[in-house]
Amino acid sequence: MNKTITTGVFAILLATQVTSCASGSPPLQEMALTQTSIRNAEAAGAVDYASKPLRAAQQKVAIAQRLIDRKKYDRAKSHLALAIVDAELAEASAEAKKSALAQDELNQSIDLMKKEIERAQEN
Amino acid sequence: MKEILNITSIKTNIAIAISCTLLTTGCAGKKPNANLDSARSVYERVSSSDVVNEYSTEDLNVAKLKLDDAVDAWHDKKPKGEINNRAYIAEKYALIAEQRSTLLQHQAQIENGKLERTNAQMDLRANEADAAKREALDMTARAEQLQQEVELREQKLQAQLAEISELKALQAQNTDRGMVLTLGDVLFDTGESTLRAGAINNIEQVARFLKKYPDRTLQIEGHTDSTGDDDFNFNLSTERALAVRSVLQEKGIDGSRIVARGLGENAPIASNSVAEGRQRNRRVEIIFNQTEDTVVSGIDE
Repeated sequence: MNKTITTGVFAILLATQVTSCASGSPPLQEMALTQTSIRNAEAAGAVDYASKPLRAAQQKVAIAQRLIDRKKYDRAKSHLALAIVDAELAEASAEAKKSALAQDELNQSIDLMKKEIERAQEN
Repeated sequence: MKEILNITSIKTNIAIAISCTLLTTGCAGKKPNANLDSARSVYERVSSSDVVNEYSTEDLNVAKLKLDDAVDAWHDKKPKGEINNRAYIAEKYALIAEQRSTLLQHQAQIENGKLERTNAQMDLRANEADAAKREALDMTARAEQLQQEVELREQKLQAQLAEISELKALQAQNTDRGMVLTLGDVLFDTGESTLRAGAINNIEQVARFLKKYPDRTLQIEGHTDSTGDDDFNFNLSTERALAVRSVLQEKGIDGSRIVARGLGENAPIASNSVAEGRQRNRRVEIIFNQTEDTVVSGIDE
């Protein structure tokens, strides 16, 4: 009698737990969006110019993937939400860094030309 | 009186104590969250940046909304993980706003830089054009100078050729000492230094030539044959040379242009053993010195 009750309670508890873990459907759309953001960051040069936030995004996606495999969709979703801002920061940082380099290069070429003009005017 | 004061102060103290308790209660249950504090301080730093306010106010607004989300979660006493996640997102959005403003600022500066570069390129080309123009002018000037030099030389050559042909008209001979005009023995009385009338005409022509060409100087050399005393011959040749010089001076030629000397019998041009040779040796030679810038010394026959 007692054993039956215990088994029943356990079954209920197990069911509740499984339900709480496998909450809703897997966040496939979020995963796809995050991976797109990571690809955009990589295309912007984040591998060279913003490796830290890019790595942070990639690690969170990996964790999210493992959580999805274990059907822990809610936790996976919140990791993806963080990963996507990491990826966006990586893209923005890489773009900013590249623009700084482009500006330096431009300024150098202008300086060079100005020096050439000064030299020409001295002669 | 003193008691009353005491009572008042006690009341005040109580009031303060109560309000303190109320304040503390208001904070109670909302434990400070380090992630939220970090997000807030990043947002404050970013939002006070001039660059961000100039270039990425929209991104800054998004960051503000995300920060408000996080603060709301904290006010609503949501689970710590939820607050942390929202704080994390808020902080990253603030950083994104900062990076975007940097990008936009650089892009604006690059546009200005391109304009500056175009101007510099134009300056550089203008300079190069100026330099090329100067060089062309220099070369033109040099070419003109060379042309003038050539023309001047040509004129000099023509002038000297004219001189030489005039000297040839005077019966002057082209020798390695220059043009030499020989006045023969027949122009002097035998053993005398007086010029005969026929010689005067010859010397007048020389005077006219010297007036026309004031740079020309002369040497006049008197010579005799070997007949007779050396001293007599030397004196006779000297006197004859001086006589020619005197006539030229009478015709208005400055004496300083003329050196006259006698060489006696020491420089024969023919054999003294025959009468014809002796006659040729008795002579006065007028040597026209070459000028410093002589281009041609004579015309080859």
